[in-house]
Amino acid sequence: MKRQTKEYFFVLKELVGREIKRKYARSYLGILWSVLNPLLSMAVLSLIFSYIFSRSIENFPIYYLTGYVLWLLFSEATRSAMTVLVDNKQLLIKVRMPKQVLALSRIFTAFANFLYSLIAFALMLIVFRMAPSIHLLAFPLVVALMLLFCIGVGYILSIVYVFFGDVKHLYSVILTLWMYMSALFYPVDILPEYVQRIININPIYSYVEAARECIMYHHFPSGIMWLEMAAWGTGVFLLGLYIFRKNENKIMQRL
Amino acid sequence: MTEKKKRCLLLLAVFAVGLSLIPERVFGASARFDRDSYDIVIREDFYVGVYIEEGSGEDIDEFEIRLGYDENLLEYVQGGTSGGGGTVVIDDTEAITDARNLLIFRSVAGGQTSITVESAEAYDSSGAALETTVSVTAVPVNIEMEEEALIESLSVNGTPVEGFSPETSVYSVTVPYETDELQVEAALADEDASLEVSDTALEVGQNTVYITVSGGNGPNVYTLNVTRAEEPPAPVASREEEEEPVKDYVLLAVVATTAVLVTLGIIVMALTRKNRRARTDMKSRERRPETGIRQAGTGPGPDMTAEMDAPRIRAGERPVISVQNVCMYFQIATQNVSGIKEFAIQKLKGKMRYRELRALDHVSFDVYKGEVVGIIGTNGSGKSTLLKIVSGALKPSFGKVEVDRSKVQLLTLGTGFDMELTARENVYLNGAIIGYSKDFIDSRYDDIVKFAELEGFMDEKVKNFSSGMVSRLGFAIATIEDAPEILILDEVLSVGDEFFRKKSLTRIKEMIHGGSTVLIVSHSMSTIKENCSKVVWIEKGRLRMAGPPDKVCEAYSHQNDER
Repeated sequence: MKRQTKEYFFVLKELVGREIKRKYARSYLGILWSVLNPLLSMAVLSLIFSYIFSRSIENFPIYYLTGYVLWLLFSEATRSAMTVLVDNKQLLIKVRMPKQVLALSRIFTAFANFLYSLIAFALMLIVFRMAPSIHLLAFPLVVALMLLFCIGVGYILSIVYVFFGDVKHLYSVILTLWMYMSALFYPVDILPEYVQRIININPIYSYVEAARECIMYHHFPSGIMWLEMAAWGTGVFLLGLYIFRKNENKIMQRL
Repeated sequence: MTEKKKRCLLLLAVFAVGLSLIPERVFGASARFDRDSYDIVIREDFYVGVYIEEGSGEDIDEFEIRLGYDENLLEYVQGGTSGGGGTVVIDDTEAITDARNLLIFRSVAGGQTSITVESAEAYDSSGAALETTVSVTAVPVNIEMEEEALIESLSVNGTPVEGFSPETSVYSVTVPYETDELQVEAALADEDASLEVSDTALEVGQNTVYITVSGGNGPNVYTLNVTRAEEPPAPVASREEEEEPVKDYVLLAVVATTAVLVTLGIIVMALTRKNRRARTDMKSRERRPETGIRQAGTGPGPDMTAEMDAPRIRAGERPVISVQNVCMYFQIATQNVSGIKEFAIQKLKGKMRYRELRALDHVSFDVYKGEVVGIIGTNGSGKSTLLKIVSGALKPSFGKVEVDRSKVQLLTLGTGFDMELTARENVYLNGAIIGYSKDFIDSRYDDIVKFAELEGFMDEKVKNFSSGMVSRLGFAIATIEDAPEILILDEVLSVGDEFFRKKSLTRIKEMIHGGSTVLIVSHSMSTIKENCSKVVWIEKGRLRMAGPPDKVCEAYSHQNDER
């Protein structure tokens, strides 16, 4: 058992390495894009929105960047995990390997990307003189719970995508809606109350909000927030695992 | 007809969901003042700058801004067009992205007031109206108050005005609906000053009452914004008015959510129904496995049973691979349904039909330790499916395969090769996928390179390799492990040039001698005859013949001649 997990870990590592190398295979700056992308996007959005929301949000660039890096993690992880089984059809048919590793490889690729973009984030924290505090310790835990959530969603999507190719297009629309509903670049309180209620249900928003709490406002997220995040993370993860396990064999016929 | 309707409804639903998802883009102009406030003294001319800007960089071709000011305190001098009644209009028809208009006002009395933007309109070059936002709607103007014309205390209708101070000139007062006349009592600070109050009759809603105090250098004007409450309305009516827009949104949200839920519901339903059908199909089939075998037996290969007895059935020894009555059915939809929409339509029409592809139909055979078994058959006869089932990549529809999967090594070439990576990276990637550990690859890396004859190419990207080089590398990685117990070869012996083929054959033979049990799929009869100790012939998913290589190969070639 122990040997097996070690083996899978090695496979996972190699697959993640491949995805990352592949992603930037044709660019000169390579992995640097993972750092640059959030920075540039932050610059653009700050240019546009910091004027509008300058009163209601202090430190708009940081406000946005906190949400954006987390959002990028989620959207990239789920979007790429969705197509992984179909993309690696040949491999799945010919080699006996745990299929979960494939889905995980895409998710951890997004996670590795996220780690790189954290460099940009740290840079910005220094530029904007956000003093680090003990509350920063909560951040990795928030990210871990969010990662669980991503894995769950990724599992579900990857299975569904095998059966319905439409999901790819539908999901890109849903992602757009989801992004606007996650209060990445606007303060929540400008919205009417019932929309706020919807946004509060949105799990991504709770992760983003918790991250902002511990990075920008120097609070630990409240107990209810932890509960919410943990419930979403483990709940969706278990659901994804269940669906994945149940359909693992069925998809082989479908591929 | 009904089908058309359904399609229409579905389309409409999709549109409705889509529309609600389109984010609104805001283009537009914004108007604002050049300063946050203006502080001046009495009887002074001052400039007020009004900006109009286009946010997205488009030109504003025409605009019109209407400003309002209080005639009791300010006088408009020049810069725009007087609109009368305390309004000034500025407009322009030049193409601009950002313009500043200077207006000159003159203060006529002390006190606090403001200049407000009453309306702002902007049009682009095509004449289309731009959405105009006014970032600052009112800018305060403070005119220094004359000391000799101050009021010391002020009361309205007998009660003192809340928060009164002589230097502040603007107050808001609310009176009940019943009050239709305002009683103003003011005590003057200076005896020489005189006091004048404008019309004190009140209408329902907003009223402004000016108290002009003349004295000293000039007048001060105190402004009372009086709100007379509305007639107490029927409470029900007002609440309805308030809630209506909210209801609208809620309705929209509910509709959108329902649409999403319905879609999800359809998917789930469809999937579960499919499951059930598949399961019942299995059950009905499982009841008649014997007939299946008989069919296979009475098929066009009558000599099969005889041959089946002939292979060395080793008494007392357990077979390494035992394929028992394995069936593999694929369900193939007769209409190619590739999307949710079509799937839903077909479901609704009840037209979802599956054709069954029997890739394997009740196949059984045993392989004992040390045997080299060749699997032959024409293209599409199910050979590869069988290998996938044996290696564990596929699970059979029913029947079972008894084999220790941890010992199985399926040798296929180049699976998991990534063309964008270098050969070195691919060795590790492919090795990991096959199931080697990092230490193992590290220790055998040089052997792999040597065997593949790719020294000096290992840091090249694989996409630059010739196909022969790729297969050589694949073969080298796959066979580097010392004799796995069960080796499955899927068309790998026809790789590379003649020399490499010989080399790989030698390697395979080495592995066979090392005690491996081998399954070979090949179209090359000579390879089969040379290497195998037993041959299994599969035709159209059925076991046609199993036995010694010579006999089976002969029958196979013979059948091909007949065609």
